[in-house]
Amino acid sequence: MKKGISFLLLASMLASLVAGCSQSNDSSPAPESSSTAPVSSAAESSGSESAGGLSAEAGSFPLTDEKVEFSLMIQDSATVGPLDQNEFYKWYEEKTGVHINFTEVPAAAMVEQVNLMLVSGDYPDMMMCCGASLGVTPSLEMLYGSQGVFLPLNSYIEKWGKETQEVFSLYSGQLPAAITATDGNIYSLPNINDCYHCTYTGKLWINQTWLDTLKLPAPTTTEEFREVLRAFKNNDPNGNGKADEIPIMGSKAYGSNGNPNLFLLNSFLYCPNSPDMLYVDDNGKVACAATQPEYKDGLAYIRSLVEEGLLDASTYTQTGDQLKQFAIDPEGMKLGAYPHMTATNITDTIDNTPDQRTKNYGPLAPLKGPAGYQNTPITGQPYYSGYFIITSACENPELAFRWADGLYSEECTLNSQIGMPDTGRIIPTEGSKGINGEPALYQSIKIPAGTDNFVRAQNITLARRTSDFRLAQYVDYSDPDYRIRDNEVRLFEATRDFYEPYAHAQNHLPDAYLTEEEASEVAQLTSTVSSYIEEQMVLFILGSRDLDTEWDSYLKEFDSMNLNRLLEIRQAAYDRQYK
Amino acid sequence: MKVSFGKERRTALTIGDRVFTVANYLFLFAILVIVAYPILYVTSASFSSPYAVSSGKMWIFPVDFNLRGYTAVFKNRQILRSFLNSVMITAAGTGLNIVLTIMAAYPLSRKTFYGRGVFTGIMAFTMFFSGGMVPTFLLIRDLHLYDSMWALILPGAVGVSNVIIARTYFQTSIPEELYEAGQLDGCSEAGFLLRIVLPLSVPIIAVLVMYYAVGHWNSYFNALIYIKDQDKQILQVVLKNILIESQMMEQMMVDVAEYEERQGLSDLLKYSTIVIGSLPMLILYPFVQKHFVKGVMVGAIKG
Repeated sequence: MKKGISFLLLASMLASLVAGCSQSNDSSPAPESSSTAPVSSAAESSGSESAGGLSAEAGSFPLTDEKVEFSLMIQDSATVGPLDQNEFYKWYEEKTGVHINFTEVPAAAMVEQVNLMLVSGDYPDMMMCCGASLGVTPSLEMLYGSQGVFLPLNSYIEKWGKETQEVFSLYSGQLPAAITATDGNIYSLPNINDCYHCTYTGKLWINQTWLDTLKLPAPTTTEEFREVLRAFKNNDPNGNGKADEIPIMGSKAYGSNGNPNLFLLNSFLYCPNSPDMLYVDDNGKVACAATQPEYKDGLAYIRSLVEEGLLDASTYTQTGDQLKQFAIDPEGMKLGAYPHMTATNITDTIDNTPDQRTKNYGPLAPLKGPAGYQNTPITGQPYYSGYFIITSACENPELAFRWADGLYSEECTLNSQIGMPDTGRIIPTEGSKGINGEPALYQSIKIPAGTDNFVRAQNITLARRTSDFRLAQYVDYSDPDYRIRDNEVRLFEATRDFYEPYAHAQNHLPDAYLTEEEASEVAQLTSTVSSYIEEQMVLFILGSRDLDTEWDSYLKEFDSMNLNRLLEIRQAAYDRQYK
Repeated sequence: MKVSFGKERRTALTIGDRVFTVANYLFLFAILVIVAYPILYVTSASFSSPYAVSSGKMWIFPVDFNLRGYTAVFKNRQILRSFLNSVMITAAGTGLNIVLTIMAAYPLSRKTFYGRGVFTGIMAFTMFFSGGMVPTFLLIRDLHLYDSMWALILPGAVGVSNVIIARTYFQTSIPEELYEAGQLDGCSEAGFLLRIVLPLSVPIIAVLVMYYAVGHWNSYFNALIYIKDQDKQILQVVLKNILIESQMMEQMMVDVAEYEERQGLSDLLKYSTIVIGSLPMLILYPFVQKHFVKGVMVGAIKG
């Protein structure tokens, strides 16, 4: 037993060291074509400009007349069956002439696997798996790019990247600048998943049925909101004669989407949805919301809700499951309002609860604060960097790039993300409408939970899911409950009507490319500052620290954490890229 | 409260003794509840509808009894295949472990074995120092064990702590005189191990089987690192993939439909797979249980 524990400790310590060690370890291994590297029959053509067996024009298929094999590292998804039997990849192999040998890695092991693979020098030809959140960070790209392990794609994009260039022109404000390393090379292709409703965060869902019962209009200011919560608490809106209602409650799960702080603070100032709370103020300066005087006012407001028992204090301690259990309590409806990105996460999908609980909750627009400010913070970006990489093990990178470039096309995006025609998706009849009211492009065929999915390879395959593409999903408008049953519709409409109009987009601080030294310094500073902000926020809200007497010492602490240095670096990176 | 203690007990119990006994039983019962409740909860939840579980309606016995979770498990090829892989690796791995451990422990237990202190020392050294993850990974790869089930069986085929337990058992419970008697009757070294030592060592073998089998069954990290082919993956990794990945998605928050699908999959399969995943060890335990206490004690009291 002891040995097991010590090995585990050792292993986890080493795992965290791998990234750090890799620089010194990996100076030597030149990319060797090891015995596991697949044999490419078009090997002799690599490097030469006009390749034998390659079809000549960008964007034409098949890509090659002879059969070529590549090895590909890809994420193993719980909702996608084994990929060698996947209909989409079979279809794409027929179309391109390229055969893929898959290495499927579970997301939980991705960071370790990527690092082990890079340190051991045993690369697959291509990686389409990770993105920055699963190990391939911009600084890792820089590191292995400069060593020649990750191939620069610039020349291929120029020559063969018909679809890639289209992606860049669609997001010309951000791409390719945001994925270009500081040495001017592009080492990875971004995955495009432009989620309209995810961009506008800090949503709050309020009990419409109770508002109607109590004949109250939807609150528009922070003080009206307080009155509504009082009414929820005292006027027995569920009519069972017991004071068992909780006006508003969240959970510690789901990050900043789990508690109502984000929603409420944005009535006072631009409070961004990122743990470090950095934003761009109206003068173009990077600033931290958690040090602003308005932030203090916001915390005081939230504190007063907690003190009055309107915002339940268990919000800051309970799990998501506990909140859900309360929200869908079979005995009756007891919850007045809850924060979340998607309404159904807490009140469950419409058909899962006998009384269709989630139907009672509707979105509440950002409230006007005492100074009349109201805001929806925005977050995220439409692209995920670090998604597709060609390594030095690849003997025919030109062809590999063209294979990936093709995945961006609308046909491939449809087939990979939504499903193959007839088995994975239905082509909607003439005149049917999508989420945004435009003609629908596709209707997905549901696969019963638990059965293997071979008809699509969604969310693990490189694709171009633009906002328009996502919103072209067929909606059955004949269903009287379509607004609730189709969650995408619900979120789209809520965002369009209740949140987007109030967003101060110019205050959002977008990600910018950092040099390696900057990145490691920022990572350290951010983690200290973020955890301090998060911890102190809860202490102030729950009253463990007093806002009036301890605010100054709270602010002083930021100096010792070197917040100014963090602001300085982020400001420089922001100016470099966006000015 | 009256406590009966059998007729042969003559000494009268003081009040203090009685209080202690009652308190002891209450305490043990509380521990039983703490240990048994999660098992009961998971088992009941696996037969209940996801709604009954997440709304808190189900808290001890199944509500809305159904077998949907199990039907889904048996329809899911990935779970079934990985279950069989886990069974295979546990059986083969444990078999190999036992053979090698006994072959290492028996010589070390014999006083006539030359240099046994040195060998024990060398083996014990590996308990405290190892090459680390990356060198081990490189070794496994260069031995061509990467992406093979042998990568989960061969490294760690001998657990040093278990060798020491077995050695101690042999030393303390097999008297030297028995060996001399065997020699007089013309028994060879191998014959002595197979015909005399092993039949007398059932308790320790049971303990080793339990330790090794549980270790193999629950091991997770090695498979995560060394196995890439989905057809060779083991149950624990697949389970984690289904149960944990739905939580990772929350952070990405991009795709509501995909998220709901994963959530549904996880709700549906969570408890039935946990039950199926722990069943083999629950079945194994009663068979070795009667030897278990005796076997563990040997290593504990005599050094």
